[in-house]
Amino acid sequence: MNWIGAILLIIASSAIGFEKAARLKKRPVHLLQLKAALKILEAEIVYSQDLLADVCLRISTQIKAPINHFFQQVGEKMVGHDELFDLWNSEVDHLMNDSALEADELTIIKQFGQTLGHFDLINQQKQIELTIIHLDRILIDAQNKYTVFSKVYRGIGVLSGILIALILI
Amino acid sequence: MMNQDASIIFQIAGIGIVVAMIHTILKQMGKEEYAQFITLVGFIIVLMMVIDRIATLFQQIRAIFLLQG
Repeated sequence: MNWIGAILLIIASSAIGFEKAARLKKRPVHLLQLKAALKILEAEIVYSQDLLADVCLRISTQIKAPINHFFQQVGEKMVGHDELFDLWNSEVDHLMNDSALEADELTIIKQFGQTLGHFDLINQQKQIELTIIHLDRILIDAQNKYTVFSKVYRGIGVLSGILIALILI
Repeated sequence: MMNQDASIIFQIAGIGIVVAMIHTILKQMGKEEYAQFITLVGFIIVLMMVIDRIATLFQQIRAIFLLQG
């Protein structure tokens, strides 16, 4: 009977380690998607000059999950919403739960949301470029973290499971 | 009694190996302070496991050399 418990313990803690590593792997992917979405937003704002709600909905069809969900929600809820900033902030908070993105990049996106709709074309374009530069910096950091920490998380997960099982036997 | 003694030796050896591996991984990662901490925790756990056996050992030594009151 002891063995069953020990195996379950090891499996559980290994799963936690692998889950952590997977989250680390997803973060750069989601950051790239976010960057692509901002580039599309920039192109739409500069060239087609459509309504922001339509632009958001169009972005949501071109980007993969879970970032597309964010733009879809913003686009759909914008009708009948007075303050874009509040809507943007609450949707960014939802995005935190749905994706592997972390507080750093979400703060940047929130700051970007503050600027959205308050500037003329050229300044808005500059704001988007600034946001993309910030995201690039975080992307490099996230990739470094993935290469360094992903193996560590897996190793620590499996080993701590074995350690706890050994102590409890 | 003998069987139990043998099993605790292997258990402690296993804990030692695993703690050493965790220590190496954490050190490679650059988290020296966590590495030191996990080694300390491993040491304390093993100490807890053997402390009453050490107590018995000292009792027996005292008994052998007729120092017991």
